[in-house]
Amino acid sequence: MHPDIDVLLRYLDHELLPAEFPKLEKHLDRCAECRLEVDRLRAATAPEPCAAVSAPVTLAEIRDWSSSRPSAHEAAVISRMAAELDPYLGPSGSAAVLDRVSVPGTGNMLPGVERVLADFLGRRAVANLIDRIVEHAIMRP
Amino acid sequence: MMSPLPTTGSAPDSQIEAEVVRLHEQFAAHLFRYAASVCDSEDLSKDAVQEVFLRYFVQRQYGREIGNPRAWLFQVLRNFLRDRMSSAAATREVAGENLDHMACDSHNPEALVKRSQTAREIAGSLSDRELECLQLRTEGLSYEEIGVAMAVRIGTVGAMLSRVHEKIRRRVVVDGDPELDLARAIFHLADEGGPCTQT
Repeated sequence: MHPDIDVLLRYLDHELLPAEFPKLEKHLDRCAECRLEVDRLRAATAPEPCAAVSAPVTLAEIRDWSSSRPSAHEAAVISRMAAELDPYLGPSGSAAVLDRVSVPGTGNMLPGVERVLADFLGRRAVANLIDRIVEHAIMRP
Repeated sequence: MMSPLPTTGSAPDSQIEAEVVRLHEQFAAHLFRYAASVCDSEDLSKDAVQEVFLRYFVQRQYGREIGNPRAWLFQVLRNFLRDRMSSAAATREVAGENLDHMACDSHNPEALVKRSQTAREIAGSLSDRELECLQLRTEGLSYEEIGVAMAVRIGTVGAMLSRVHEKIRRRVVVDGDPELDLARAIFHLADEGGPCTQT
């Protein structure tokens, strides 16, 4: 199993716990893919400026996305989120979880869903599923 | 029926925007360089970096706490790039800015489709190690760097690339297809940057 990017970043920052270091070094000895990843991260995090990406442009995109959402967006999000959760929780399970999210205002939706999924999925699987739900149910339905 | 979850909700949008700006100032340059090293496309790298910050905003807006934003941003970026690059390979896209880098290329869309199909057939005839070696070589790594990356001797790298050449050469001869531009491109890329010649 390959280490998370978080582990590789801490390795480069010399912030691994004593028990983590030999385990990672052993993995890197035999995994070319992770060694390449470490090289990429080391080069990327060098302290050099870069004009290619600007915060105002990124903020403008965020605001464009926010303003382009239709009315009744939140109810539609809950409906689409149910469709994403159905394969994992079944229709009754996903309805039970989403019933607990108040409408209007879905500011607690993701933590609630994440808590339930974490009961039977690993941390990495939950994170991947949440990312997928965000993309398909909220960002680009 | 279960009791409703506490409606602590997310922070106001202005606060989340301030978070995004702060993280952007700290990490956007790093993320861009990482993306560029993975996908070798400035356009895709810029899009990818903007995408991950948008996703960060959305997830925070929907209440998700992200304990380690730097690691999260890199992870989401890597996943996004892998999905886009897989999707591009599957749909036979060729980025405009990369056309100039392809030896013996054709601007005919049908030729591009055939080239991608041929590339997949050739890739299927190589072992995982041979394909990895070829890919590292086409990324510009020297024999020594490939040896370090794959934990093999330089001589082994040379032998692997030689086998790859032979397998591709055999495909050209067997197929007798003069339009295997990609095969010639692979020869060119893997053969010390030498001239592109038809076998």
